[in-house]
Amino acid sequence: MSFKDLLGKELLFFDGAMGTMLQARGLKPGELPELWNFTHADVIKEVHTAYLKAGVNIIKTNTFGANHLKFAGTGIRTAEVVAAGVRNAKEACAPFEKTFVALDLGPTGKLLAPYGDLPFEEAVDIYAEIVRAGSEAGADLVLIETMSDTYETKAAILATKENCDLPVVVTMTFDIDGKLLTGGDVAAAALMVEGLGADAIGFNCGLGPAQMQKLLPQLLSFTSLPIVLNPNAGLPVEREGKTCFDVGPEEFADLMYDLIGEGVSIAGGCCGTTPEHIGAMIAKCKELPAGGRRACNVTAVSSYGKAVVFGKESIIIGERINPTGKPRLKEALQNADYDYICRLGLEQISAGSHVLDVNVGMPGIDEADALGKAVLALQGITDTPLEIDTSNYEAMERALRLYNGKPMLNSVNGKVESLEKVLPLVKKYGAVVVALCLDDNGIPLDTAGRIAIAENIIAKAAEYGISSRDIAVDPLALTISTGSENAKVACEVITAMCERGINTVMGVSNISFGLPGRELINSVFYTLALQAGLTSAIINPQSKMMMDAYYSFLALNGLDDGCKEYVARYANAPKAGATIVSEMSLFDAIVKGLIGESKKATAVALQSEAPLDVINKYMIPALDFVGEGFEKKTLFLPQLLMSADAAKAAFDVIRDSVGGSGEANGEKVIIATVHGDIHDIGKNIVKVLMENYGYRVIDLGKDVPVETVVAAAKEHGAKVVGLSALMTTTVAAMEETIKALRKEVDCKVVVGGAVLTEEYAQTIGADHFASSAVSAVNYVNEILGKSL
Amino acid sequence: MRYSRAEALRYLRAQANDEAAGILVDTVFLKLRNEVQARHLLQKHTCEILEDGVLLDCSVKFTSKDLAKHLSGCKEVLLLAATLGSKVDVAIRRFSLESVAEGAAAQAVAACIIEGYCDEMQERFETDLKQRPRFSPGYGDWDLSEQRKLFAILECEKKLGLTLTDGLMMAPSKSVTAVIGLSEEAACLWNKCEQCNNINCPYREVE
Repeated sequence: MSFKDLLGKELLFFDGAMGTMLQARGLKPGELPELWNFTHADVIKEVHTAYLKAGVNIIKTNTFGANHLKFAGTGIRTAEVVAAGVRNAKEACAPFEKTFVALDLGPTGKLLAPYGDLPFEEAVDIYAEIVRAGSEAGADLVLIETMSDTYETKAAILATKENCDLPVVVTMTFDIDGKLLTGGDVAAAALMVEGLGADAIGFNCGLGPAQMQKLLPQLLSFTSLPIVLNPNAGLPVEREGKTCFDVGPEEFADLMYDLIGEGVSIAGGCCGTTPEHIGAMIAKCKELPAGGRRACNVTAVSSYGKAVVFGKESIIIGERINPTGKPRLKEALQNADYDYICRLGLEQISAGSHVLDVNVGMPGIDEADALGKAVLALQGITDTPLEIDTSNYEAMERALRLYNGKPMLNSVNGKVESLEKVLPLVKKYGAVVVALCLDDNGIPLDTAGRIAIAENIIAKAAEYGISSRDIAVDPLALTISTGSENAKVACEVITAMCERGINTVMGVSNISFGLPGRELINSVFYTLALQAGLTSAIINPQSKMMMDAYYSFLALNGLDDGCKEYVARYANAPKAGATIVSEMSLFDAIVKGLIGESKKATAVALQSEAPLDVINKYMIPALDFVGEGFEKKTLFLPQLLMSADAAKAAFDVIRDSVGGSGEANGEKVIIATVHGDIHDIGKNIVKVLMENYGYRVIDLGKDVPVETVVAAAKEHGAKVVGLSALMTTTVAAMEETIKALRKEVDCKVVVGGAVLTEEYAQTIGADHFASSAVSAVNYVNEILGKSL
Repeated sequence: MRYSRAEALRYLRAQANDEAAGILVDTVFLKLRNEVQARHLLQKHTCEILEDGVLLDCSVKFTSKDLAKHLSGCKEVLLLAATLGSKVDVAIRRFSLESVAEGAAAQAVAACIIEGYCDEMQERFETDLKQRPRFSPGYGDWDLSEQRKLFAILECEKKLGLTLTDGLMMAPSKSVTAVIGLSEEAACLWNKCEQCNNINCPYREVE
């Protein structure tokens, strides 16, 4: 019988702690326990055997921390450590029946980018090396355990699935409030893990059985997978500076008996548990049945932090990250300005989006690269789940891979090619996929034709092992200007899907294509579709009429308890038709750092003056005034920053007024935080100030390799490059960057950062030391001859 | 949540009477506190003070004359690691995108929250001895690379989700590691700023 044959059919038992057992046998704090696979193989086997004698079925190999990052510089080879770990476990298991060796994968010890500095694909490679070594050495399954970060968990699962055929069990560590160290909750983690194809899921470490009991219901309701619980022997207690676990073997067994009864399929232990704990548990629980798989009909998408569940209030998917008809977004994509894309995301989130659609397809850019970067940028600033929207399969896979959670994917359709290319990706990455009701014969004009296509896609998806709960059917809104039945057909498809328990999604605004007063038709059609049962819609959440329709619908359908949401939204709404009046000049608004006033004053000024005049007559003098005050210490950092924000707001109004191409002709300046440095606040302040002066700032971000800075300086022919570094350890990287620039590019280099001095800056070869953001801008003005 | 508003304003380099900065800091504090997921580790060790460093009972030696001086007379030390979690970093990045002023204020507020959190956790640690001020890798002549030793002893990665980047920076960034001397008397002749290499630091409090 293989592990997979038994999983979920009969109750299985994992062993208990290894680390605390080894500490009791002389392992010192800070020592690498995995090296004991060579130096103390007998001790390792003795611990394994003690657990096997207690009756366990699954032994975890002593490979928890084995990875090439930990062994860097020691000459130790990861593959050998892992193979030795598997060998020890196999030898210990040999005399015992119905026992399996679980290749143990723990966290890498690094935080993944953008939260830390380990790129996602490097994390995948780290795990891949361990998985190959462990499966070759003969492990029976892979256990990914003590994971406290969904992103790292995803890297480990992908590495496992891509490098062996072994079953994979994932156990994660939550705190007492049900949160991962990176902030995710049980639902978000469970949705992602099941989507990625794990065979079993559960909790380990961090908590004792009693605390896990409180979190178990959430896990049971968000996954159909068999459940694994490997708790600690209670919560850790610090006593005299030492960590202790207070739950004894009998108490542990009693607590586990209750827990297993709630639907657990594999039980074992983690820190503080001993063969006595595990033995007592097995003696008490061995006759209990396994919980096995359960039905789970939840449709949801997730991010690293939270899940968005379909079925109650209809989900709003913000549509604005899509370059079609948006010159400013196109310009941002051409300039790799992901900050702009992030701002579009944030605006939509504050307007009420539950999910953000991300589409960056446009001619002349590498879509796979751009979509991957957009996903990384957005998930670095928000936990709102994303809908990956592309018809480019390469871009689709890149983005699905880099996404930190269970994504929504837009889209698959009934065409043979689409089904064959997209469905394997949906399966592999566990997406909820949008199924468009069109196929090789086009879009059927009647309801029955579209339902037939939807059913065909659902059937084909099932062949790939994709559940219908991971499909949202898009009936397709065709404009009523060319077919009077189009709205009716879409609504009928929605109702039909609703009756079958299938979720739906629709890009609502297409209904009015070619008509005047589009928002009016759109918002009424949205209401009709919601009434028909539409469970999610791709709309512009910044359209007041659409959101009015949404909130009114919720209130009218009893989905807004006591109309609280509606009242909060509309009780103090401003009256329509108010004209813009500004009491303050733009100069004063910027100097005082008032964003709202600045926007109003700009709008007023634009009524009588040309955009360039507004910039030169009010904005630049105001910025100069503030900058001078800052240098003379008559005004201080907070005011400088608030003025920068106010000027930026003014600039946005001006850019919008001229259709997005406002300052594409400004001089280019490149800025970057150097390699190895992830602190970029100073750089970001400099960026905003320079943009306010009309420069086109190419922001390379933080932790930027030397080559990237040189390549960008060449590509853009920039006359000035700005570099920042916070720490003494990273100033070396700054010096290297300057040297490399000197060899290949004719440009001035301005540097800044907490540990730098005028002298130091000269030593490393910089042209100018900027003691503040204002000093950096003044220098650039000087070099580029900006007439002020 | 213990948090010094005055200190946050000082970090932001605001003047004491700057009302707008006060409002900014308060607004940011209210937004940021929901993102805090603070965790810490405090471990007591016996130690031997050497001329060029400190030898712990787990046979790890921290090499730093300044640290040895700072801990002179101590037979025991506390090792501390604390973090506000990565959601705070995500939030700071988000605020910075919307407003540089809020971004900078969030940096200042988060720095004060982590300091206040460390103070609070240290106070809760039961000991009859007095605690000396925190001394962290990077202070004085204590090389930043020794951060790795502290991380290994405390298992910061596994227990806190606190990691080191290749450049020896902590991620999540709003984090603190330190050694705290324990002794009968509250002797501390040491001043954080005087020991610091960053002589241009705008926050430096040295006359």
